[in-house]
Amino acid sequence: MSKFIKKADLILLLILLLLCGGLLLWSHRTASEENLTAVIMQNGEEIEEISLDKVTEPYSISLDCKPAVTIRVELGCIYYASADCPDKLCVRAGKLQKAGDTAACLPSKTLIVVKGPAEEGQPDVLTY
Amino acid sequence: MKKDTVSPRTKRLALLGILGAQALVLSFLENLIPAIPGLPPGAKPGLSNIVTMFTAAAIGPVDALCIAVLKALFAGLTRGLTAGLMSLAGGLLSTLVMVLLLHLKKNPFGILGVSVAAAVAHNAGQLLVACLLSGTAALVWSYGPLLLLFGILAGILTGIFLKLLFPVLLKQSRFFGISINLQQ
Repeated sequence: MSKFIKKADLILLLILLLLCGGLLLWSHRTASEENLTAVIMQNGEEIEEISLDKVTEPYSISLDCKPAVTIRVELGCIYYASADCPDKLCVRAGKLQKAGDTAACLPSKTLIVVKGPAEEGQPDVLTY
Repeated sequence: MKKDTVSPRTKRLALLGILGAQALVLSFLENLIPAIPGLPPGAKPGLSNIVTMFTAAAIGPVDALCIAVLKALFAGLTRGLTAGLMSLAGGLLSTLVMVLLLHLKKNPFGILGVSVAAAVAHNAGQLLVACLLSGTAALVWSYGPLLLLFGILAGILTGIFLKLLFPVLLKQSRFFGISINLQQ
């Protein structure tokens, strides 16, 4: 193991980079900024579905969970405004504005996912 | 000449204690670095993997797993249960991958490959736990590509560090009276 690089290392690196590129292309292909629906999940269940394009006045939602979190809903975006968890990674995730954007507060088991238009009835994966 | 009265097991325990402490210090220090915008918050270079990789390569797989569990306990105590679970999942998967790659016949992988594989496996383990806790796979698509890329970069960085620090770590082990046989 004392050698730094061997042939297998480069092959592994290449495979991982290709995988990364593939995932990036896939997630960007389906990302959009119109007709956004935000879904708030708690404990793995959907508890709220909000059409972000139809928000007239910004408002806050305080979820009933421990640690407590507050979610702010505005026209075209949604985000964790505050949270009582120790790391506050959910708040630091910032504003969610595109399809596919997510923020999660794992200690409170809550999650916000932004979905694009017409997700029902579409195949999840296409292979050619 | 003074007779050596310390048993080999005690020496090994002492060395593991030091290595464990070093892993904890590295993980603590890198958590002090503020989150870089554009990256998933909480993504860190994983410098403590340097210690885990050395232990897996030079001392033993079980010892490396012990260090991973120790890190997870530390994370759980200092940063909360969720952080502890993430660290445990990432650490166990990462250490298993490390041990697997290091024990392949003919040693096809060098330090770089093991390091990158360990870092990516660590992120994958954490992502898995995050998906289980939040109940959805959407996190894979949003965080996956970035975590994978960052894992590769972090793996390269820790690999370089390990290559540079290997002689020092070996010297440390010899100080504790542990002689290392590395399979080439």
